[in-house]
Amino acid sequence: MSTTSKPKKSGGALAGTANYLDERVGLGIVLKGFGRKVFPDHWSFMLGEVALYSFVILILSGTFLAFFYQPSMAEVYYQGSYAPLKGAEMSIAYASSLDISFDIRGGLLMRQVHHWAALLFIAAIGLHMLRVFFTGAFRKPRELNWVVGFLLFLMAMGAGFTGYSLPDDLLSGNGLRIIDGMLKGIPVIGTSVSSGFFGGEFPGTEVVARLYSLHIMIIPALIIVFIALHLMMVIIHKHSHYSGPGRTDENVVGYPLMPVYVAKAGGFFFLVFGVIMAISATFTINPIWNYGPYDPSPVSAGTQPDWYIGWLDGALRLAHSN
Amino acid sequence: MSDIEKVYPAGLAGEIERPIPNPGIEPHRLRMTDKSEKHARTAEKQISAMFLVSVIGAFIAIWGFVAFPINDGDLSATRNNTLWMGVGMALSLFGIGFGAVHWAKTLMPDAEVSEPRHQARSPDESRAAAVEIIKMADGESGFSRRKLIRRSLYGALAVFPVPAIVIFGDLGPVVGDSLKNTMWREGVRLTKDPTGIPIKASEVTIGSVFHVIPEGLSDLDHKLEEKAKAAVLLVRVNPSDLNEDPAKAGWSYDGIVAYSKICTHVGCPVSLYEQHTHHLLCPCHQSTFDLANHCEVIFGPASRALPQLPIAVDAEGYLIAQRDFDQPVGPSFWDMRK
Repeated sequence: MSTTSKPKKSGGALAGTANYLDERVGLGIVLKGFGRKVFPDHWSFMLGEVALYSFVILILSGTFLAFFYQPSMAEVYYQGSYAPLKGAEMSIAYASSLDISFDIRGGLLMRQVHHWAALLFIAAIGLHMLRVFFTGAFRKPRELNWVVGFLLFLMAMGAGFTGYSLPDDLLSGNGLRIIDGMLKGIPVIGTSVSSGFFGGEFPGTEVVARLYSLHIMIIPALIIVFIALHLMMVIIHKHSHYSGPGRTDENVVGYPLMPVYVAKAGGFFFLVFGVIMAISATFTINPIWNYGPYDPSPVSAGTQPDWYIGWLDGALRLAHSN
Repeated sequence: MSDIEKVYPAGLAGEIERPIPNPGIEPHRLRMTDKSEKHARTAEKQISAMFLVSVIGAFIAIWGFVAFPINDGDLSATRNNTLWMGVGMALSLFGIGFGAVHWAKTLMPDAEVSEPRHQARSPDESRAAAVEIIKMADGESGFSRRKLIRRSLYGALAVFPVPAIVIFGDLGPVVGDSLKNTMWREGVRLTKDPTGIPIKASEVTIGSVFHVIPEGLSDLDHKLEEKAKAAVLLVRVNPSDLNEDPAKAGWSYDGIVAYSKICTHVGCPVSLYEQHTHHLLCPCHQSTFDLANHCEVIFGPASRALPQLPIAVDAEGYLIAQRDFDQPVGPSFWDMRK
């Protein structure tokens, strides 16, 4: 336990590694600066953590899915394990989503982890924003971080929407049909924007691959950059804390990063992942095999987007077409 | 002066200046694990037991992968490996998570510490130095002084992103009249969706609904694009229930009417028909159309009636189209009336 506090030359492998890193990247200064950084303790401060951890889980599960998913709208006849759809004509995107669900062990689990983590990501961001709003933690000097956080909220919804469309099942295709209608409704340039988005007439053969590029490249890259900005500003401002004895505007009261918060926050990542894993193992989400491949003609009653797009879908009910 | 004696302006909440002195951080209370080595030993055992549970969970997950290989057509394998790998991994994650948090809460120090918080604002001398650097850079480059350079730079910066927009010009073809036309032509038979079996007028009983596609749709290369425009809903009502425009009287056949199924709001299939009221409802955003009155909008965000397909019956008694729709189907767009 005490090896790190001994003079570096006399230590074992750990001290050797620490010495190696310090002489090359100045690890000592970093640890001296952040090793005992104070983290105030309150359950509501964990909401942002839940969002951050959900994003890490999204990247891990998404990478697994990307190994097997094929973003092509070329038509094939399904030959996989799911008997009710055998021989049905469908896009390769939908067929590969079915293969992930039924022909790859752990594939369905990872699909469900990815979807549940996406819902938790956005729910946690929403609750985190409510916490920040109602505690006034957006006020000077933290206004810019509120803006960065709000942009992250929009990007999370963009990531959610582009991902929702990838399986190319009946529901996600209906979602795209609605996007097509909205794009066409843009004054003057609407039809060109729609044609540019879909690569011609709806539904075309391009849109799934384009959404896939957005979903796995530019949107997550932007989210990572903005999370880095968000956390940098948290370090600059230090954490806000609730009022209480000994807590003032001039100090931060809580527990030090090492060892207490490494254990607490590190352990909490595993707890968040554990909750998502347990839900994904036992509760079905987005059973695309029940919906069938996309077809412009059928629709099921109560076609709704995921709940976090609900406010936009509701707004569309108020928006009259011309 | 006590707080009560202070006079506050009416209607404004007053700020109380330090009514009581800051008592400082609460005194630290020792936990049982701080006071007794026995309790600390118990906590230690609990923590390592949780880490052990994590190892067991990992093995359950591996077993779930090995024990339930994919069996073509047998969904129980999928159910079992999803369940057991998930439960195993969840257990494995919970073991580490609860173990680490329990460790922090029972054995790591729980005395709160305080560190100073500094203003983000730089000290005055740093601000002055920063302003000095900006002024020096401005002087050395001549940015303020040399107007010609500055303004031409602004011009170049404004124009250079334009190619980055133009380069996306080939994302999609220019849409000509294709949005205004569907594959319905004179004499094309109305067939059932998705089987493509032609429909005889005599099959269509009063009150029944048929989902219709044009004959030959399944043979096309771009059938989804065509279907997205040509899908039709066919309904037969009592002819006396139809309140038809005299100009369109010949568009129906003995109470059988055919309307585009694609909502004029944002394009969802309008597929819910209510027999008694002759209303068609779009399930996406609840636009409602009155079938008895040429599908005019009676509720919801759509603004345009569903286009009607003029139909007739051929010599063999099958329903056919008289011609294409007289206006574009689906979501309205800017230049649709040109």
